[in-house]
Amino acid sequence: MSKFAFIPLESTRIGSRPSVYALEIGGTCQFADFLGIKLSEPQYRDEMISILRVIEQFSNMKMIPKTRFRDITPKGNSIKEYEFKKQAIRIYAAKISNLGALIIFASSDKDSQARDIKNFQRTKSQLIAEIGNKNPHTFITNTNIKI
Amino acid sequence: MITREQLLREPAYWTEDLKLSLFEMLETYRQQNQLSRKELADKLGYSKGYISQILNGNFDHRLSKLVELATKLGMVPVLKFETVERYMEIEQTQVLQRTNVISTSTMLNVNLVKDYQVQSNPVYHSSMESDNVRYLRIAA
Repeated sequence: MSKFAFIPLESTRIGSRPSVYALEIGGTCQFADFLGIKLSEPQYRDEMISILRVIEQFSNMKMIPKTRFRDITPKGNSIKEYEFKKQAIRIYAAKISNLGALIIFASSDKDSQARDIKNFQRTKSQLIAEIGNKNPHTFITNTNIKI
Repeated sequence: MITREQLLREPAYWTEDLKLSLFEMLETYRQQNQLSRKELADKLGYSKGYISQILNGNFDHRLSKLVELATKLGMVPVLKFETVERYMEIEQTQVLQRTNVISTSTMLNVNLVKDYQVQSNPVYHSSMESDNVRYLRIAA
């Protein structure tokens, strides 16, 4: 059984099928933990809510200001990488074919930005190797866990 | 964990929603008219800094300024309000209609008008039938 699983992001879901998921590794979802912490911190709560609205905009395939969202795919890489940001908060996601966007990592520490992107890309590479030719939908959690 | 309903009850969600709406209107106009930010600012009689703030999604508008900007683009802002419960019903009905789970006539029975049905996002559309009004849209 894979250590990777995809958890649907329900709060930004409008359609019958979510198009944004968060990555769980070995039973831990970094984004879910990050979201919970930021929503409980008054100085970050509004930023976190705003960024969820931007993620919704992305899943609706609508235009987003460059200050909120950018494509950070390295040259020559066929798998798209995205950064959502609002002030200090940055969320890193990758496009998974036949599934949608998968949030892999989130941070609010500006000093660690370069290191965060490297970690995100390393995790993404491991994940893509793990998915291989499998249907990505088989990685979606079949429990009631939702974000 | 935050539910859809909890998210919709957050003021920050709607503030961001309006900023994105304003950005979409102005960026669409800029692209359609093939204007740089500077050219757009000159054409509308605003500073480049003001235009950049909107296109960066950072401007917290005074109502009068928002109305002025919309009308300069040949648009009118339409403000409507819905209860959260009603808004969620509309979202779900729209999804069902989009996926052909329910018919057009059913749609009309839940008070949605024809041109609302083709919109991909109900937030920005002005023609949703309702006596209660609680969302803002820039309508052509």
